[in-house]
Amino acid sequence: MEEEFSADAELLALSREQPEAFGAFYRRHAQNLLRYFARRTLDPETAAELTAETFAEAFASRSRFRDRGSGAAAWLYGIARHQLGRYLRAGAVESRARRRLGMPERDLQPGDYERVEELIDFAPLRAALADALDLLTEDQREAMRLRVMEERPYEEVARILECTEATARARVSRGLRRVTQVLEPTRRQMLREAD
Amino acid sequence: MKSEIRFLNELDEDLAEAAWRESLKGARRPRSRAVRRRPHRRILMVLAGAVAFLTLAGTIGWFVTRGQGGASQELRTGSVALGSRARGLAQASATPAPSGMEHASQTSLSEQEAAFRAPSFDQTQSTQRLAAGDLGVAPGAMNASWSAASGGVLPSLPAITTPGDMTRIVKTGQLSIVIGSGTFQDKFRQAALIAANYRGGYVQSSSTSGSRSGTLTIRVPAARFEDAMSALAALGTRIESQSVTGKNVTSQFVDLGARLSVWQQQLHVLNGLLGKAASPEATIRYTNLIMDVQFRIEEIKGNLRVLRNEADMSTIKASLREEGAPAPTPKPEKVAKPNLGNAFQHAVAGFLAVVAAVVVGLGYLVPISVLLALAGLVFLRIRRRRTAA
Repeated sequence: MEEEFSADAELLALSREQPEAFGAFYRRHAQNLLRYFARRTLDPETAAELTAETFAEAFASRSRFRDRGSGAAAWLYGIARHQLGRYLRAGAVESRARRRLGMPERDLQPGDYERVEELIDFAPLRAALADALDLLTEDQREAMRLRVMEERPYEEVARILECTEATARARVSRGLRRVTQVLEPTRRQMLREAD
Repeated sequence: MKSEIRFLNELDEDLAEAAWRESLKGARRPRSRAVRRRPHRRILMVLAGAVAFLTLAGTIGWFVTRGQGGASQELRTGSVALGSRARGLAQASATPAPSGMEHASQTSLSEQEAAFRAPSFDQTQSTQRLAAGDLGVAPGAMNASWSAASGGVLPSLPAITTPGDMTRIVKTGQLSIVIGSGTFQDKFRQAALIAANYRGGYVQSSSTSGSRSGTLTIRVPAARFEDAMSALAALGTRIESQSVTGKNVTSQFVDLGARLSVWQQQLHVLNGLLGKAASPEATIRYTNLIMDVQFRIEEIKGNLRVLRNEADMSTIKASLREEGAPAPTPKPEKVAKPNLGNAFQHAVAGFLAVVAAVVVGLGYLVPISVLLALAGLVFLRIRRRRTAA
């Protein structure tokens, strides 16, 4: 572990004079950082963007890194936390550092979504979701399927379920509240594991 | 090592490209120089911030001191000259005029403005008033300056009372009168006769502009100054503007008198020495000295005569014009020649004024900046806590 700290710090120090050395530092931490963001945002696209912006910011400010014993990874995750905080406050990922470096804003490739989801490890969440859905009434489950999964308008949901639109809205709302209550402990557990 | 996630591989390539671009930049510019320039830039930024801060402070200071205006200047002058008494009088001069009257500023006193102006005192006059006060004379009697205009009625002017023997005031009046159509020649002659009505009074100068307007400067005994002003005002159907200025020259009188006394004593001593001179060289030397002293005595006496004449004989400048006639155009003012001898003093005064303005501004800005910094720190701490939560 000590060696890893020292290697990261040395890589960053070296990258000040030889910028290409930053590539090695990137490859050491890229996947873990993507997982870090994916587990917190539960959105592969956002996680990928945050990863790109964090590394761009780290590259641009690598001359400011001072090794005070906590290692370069801690410094990198400090930048990551900062980026995540800004994303949560603003609702959008910044692209300032990438623009400054002349880096393009890239999208995830089709096959990447599954791989990022694997990083997140949705298994516990899926199990918890199944449990939560079991707790719902048949009407609520059906209303949620039509509205949330199939994204049908409430008017259509009400017609299919042969009820008023207000009743359809109430069923979806109660169902979502119940699912959220059941999933919350699992989400917290996942975040603890990610740390 | 390639990742299975293509996005991460592309990001790796993008970062490598950015690194390559930076390497190229580094090759064009020596790295060591770039490293050296960084702290230099920081110093420049700090300096720029400090300059901006001081400029802001100076601006605030300038506005603050400007807002206080002449009153603060009077305070300064007064406090140097006569201490705490000056403050009272300076404040009195800064007190707003009674309702319906506009408080007149120092500069406006010399201008003949149309609006009625309440009594006001300028800086030098305030100081002179203080001097008069110290001589045991009522300040109000020593010096006054105001201008007035009204629709045909002469406003009751505060009387410039003649102070005690010690004081000498040079009174100057200005009157702009509108007279009836076709009466200019007659009224102009009557105005000239007013001077002759008083013992020693005379017309100093007169000029006419066409046949409908003209200007007249008369000298009248100081004791009859108010009478002459009233008589002149009575000639017109309407008074456009009127101003009276009293300039206290008591201190100059006292100063010249003291110097005269000293030189006269010196002359007496020199005459004694001349009488006892044993050699022709001593006689010549004492004679030269006596001539020099006599020249100085004559010079002082001449100054005293001029001053006494100015104080004894007041000057009134009256402008008469018929109703509807254009106002006489004022002569263009002489262009003041720049005085290089005073330039350095002006520069020093300007420098000190800027420094003073910055100091005054800092007095406002520093506590405000500290409060803002504290508020900012509190805000940041709260935001961090919320983010962490």
